[in-house]
Amino acid sequence: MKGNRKKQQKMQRYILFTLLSFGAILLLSPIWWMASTSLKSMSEIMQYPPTFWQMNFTSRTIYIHGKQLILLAIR
Amino acid sequence: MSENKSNQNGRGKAPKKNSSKVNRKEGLQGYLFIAPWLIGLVFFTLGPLLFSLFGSFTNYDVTSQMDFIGFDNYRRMFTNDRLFWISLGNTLYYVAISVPLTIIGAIVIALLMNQKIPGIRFFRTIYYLPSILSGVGVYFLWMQLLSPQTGLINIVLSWFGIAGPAWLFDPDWTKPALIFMNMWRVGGSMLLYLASLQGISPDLYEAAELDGAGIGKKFLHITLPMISPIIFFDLVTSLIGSFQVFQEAYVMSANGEGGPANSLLFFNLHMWNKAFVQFDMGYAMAMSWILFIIVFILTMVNLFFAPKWVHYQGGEK
Repeated sequence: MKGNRKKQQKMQRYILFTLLSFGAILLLSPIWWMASTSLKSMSEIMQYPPTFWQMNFTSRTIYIHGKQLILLAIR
Repeated sequence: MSENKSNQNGRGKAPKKNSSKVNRKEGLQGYLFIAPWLIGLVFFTLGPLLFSLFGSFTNYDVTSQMDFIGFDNYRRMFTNDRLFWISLGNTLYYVAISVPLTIIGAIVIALLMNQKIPGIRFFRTIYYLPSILSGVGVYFLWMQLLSPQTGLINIVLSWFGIAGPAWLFDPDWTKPALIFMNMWRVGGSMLLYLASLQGISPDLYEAAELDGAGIGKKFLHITLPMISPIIFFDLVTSLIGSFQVFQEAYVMSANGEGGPANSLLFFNLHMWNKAFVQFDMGYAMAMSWILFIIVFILTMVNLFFAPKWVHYQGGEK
């Protein structure tokens, strides 16, 4: 009886965990999109279909964006 | 502190005799200390408030004229401005859907966040994360996400074989798009509910369990009444906030044009266009007072019904 209840609780936790993980992915995807777009080159931003994982974070784009950020901060 | 002061002031004389004088002096000092705030209130809040009330009865246009025209602005609003009714309808639509959805969403997420499962602190952080981003940046991000062809949302929908709507380009889907965006940022009120959920004593649940209450009964008769003050607070503030929806619509409809078929023309956006595009300032002031009256009445209704369902633990009030 008691063991059965514990098993049920464990099951509930697994279901909750997957549910919450799914929601977390949903909520984080716009943030991921924002962060990845900030590191893409202009042509890659416009590209269709958009790149999700296989992005070309060239050192050049990071350099350009970094320079712009620093210039903005100084001004 | 006050005793010390009265002794200093009334040196050599009987302190009792001078008490009213001392009181007055202390009162004056008090007003002096709050003067910076008081001056700010009078000149930057109260003054403009009264000015807008007066201006709503004139044909003020910022530059050349300010003639008293009685109730003309109000009459024109109700009888001769199609866009006024459209904007009012849009705002009511937005409020009626967005407020209940965000309240229910926040409560559901808070209930999930209140469970004891591994990594719950991590989940709380993630679910709160969208609300720390704010302002125009978020709106531009969502304009990208909601883009009909290349936006993330429609691409993900297409994986499941669903042809997503054109969102911000389809008059039927502009307001749901904004509501989705605000559901994403529900973390702020979720935090309030979570705090109040954690304040509920476990004794109550234990006692209810002994009496044989199930999950549903426990939620209905313990959880809901215990968090009802927070629900009430959230209802009042988000109702007022939703009536004032402006930024999202302004940014996402090409600088306040109102979107396709005026579907994003909210009350405040229409007011902005009247005031700062057409410089019909008197009319815009009249509109703002109408909005104030609507929100005031709704808040009064809210306060009237509150005692029927809001439960305060330490007795009433």
